[in-house]
Amino acid sequence: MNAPVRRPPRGLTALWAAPILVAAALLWQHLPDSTQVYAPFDVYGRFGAPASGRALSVTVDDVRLAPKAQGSARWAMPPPVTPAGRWLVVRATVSATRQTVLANAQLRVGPNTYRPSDRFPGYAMGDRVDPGISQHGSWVFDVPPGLFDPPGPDPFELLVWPGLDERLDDRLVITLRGHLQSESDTVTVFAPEVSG
Amino acid sequence: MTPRTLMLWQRNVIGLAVAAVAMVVLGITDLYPHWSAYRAGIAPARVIAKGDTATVDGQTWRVGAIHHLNAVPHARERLPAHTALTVVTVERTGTPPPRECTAVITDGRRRWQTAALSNRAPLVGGATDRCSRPGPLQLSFLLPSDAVPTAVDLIDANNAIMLRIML
Repeated sequence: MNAPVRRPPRGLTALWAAPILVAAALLWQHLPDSTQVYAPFDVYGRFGAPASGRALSVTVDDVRLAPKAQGSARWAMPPPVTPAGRWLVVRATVSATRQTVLANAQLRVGPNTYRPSDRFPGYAMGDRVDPGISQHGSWVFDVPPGLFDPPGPDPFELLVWPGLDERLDDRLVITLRGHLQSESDTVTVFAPEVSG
Repeated sequence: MTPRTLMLWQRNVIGLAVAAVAMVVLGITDLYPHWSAYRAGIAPARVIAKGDTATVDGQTWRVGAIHHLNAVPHARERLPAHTALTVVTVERTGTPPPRECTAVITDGRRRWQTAALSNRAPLVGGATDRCSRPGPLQLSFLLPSDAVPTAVDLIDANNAIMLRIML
């Protein structure tokens, strides 16, 4: 035979249930939203060595800071372009690992993040990357020169990811610190070389 | 008459049953559409075996000519080094679907979208490169020279593979 279940007085139940409910409501109101929760999976790489994620493989082989940059291709060589600050030109080889993707890049310098300049259409790195077909080209960024005064910025990184949204996918983070070459004259932005 | 009071274990069993039903309903209404969309993106709705003909939505599909070219016909620019252009013609009869589609070629391990406009072979023999237009579908793909394609997938706007055509 079961013993009768003894219940606590109603007032006592309310006394411990109320603060739990209040705490739950407060927590619910202050939960982070999806833009704070979802993030990319960073894959770290270094200058001169291939960095490979789920969708992209990138090898950075040259980083230059210059006051002017000039596009160069077999079909044309337009006049040099002057930036608002300095041009930072990152040369790299990019290929896709499994399927055709759009490669997006950003430069992280100290506290700031920069998107590639759109002033070198046809000469800067193309967006589309195919598996088994590599593209050797340049991303060009317009950056304030003061950020590169000694001892140099930290972090100084190139970020590359597939698609428009970097979240919930691999993002390559390639450190460029210690590899920047400063030019006093014009740096050439060669049109991408594509090869299988 | 006094209503019969259920035992504690009986009330627990009822609670568990209600929770299980709620989980099933949640799965069907919330999770299944996402799972279904994901499956449609990796498993084709129809597969046409090599050399076969299949009828989908009143339209008959069959692989026609497959050309492997080392240059874009009539183009001044050469193809990138160590690449080749694969041009697949899909013969169709019947009314074309009202919706557009994209095409992807695969070697079973990697997947390539159709070539950029500058690398596409000119359309010949009344062919089109759009699903919604009548006539044979001509698709150009820029591939590494060593790639051996095995199938072409036609994908709708919802990223679902409508048709897989084995080559």
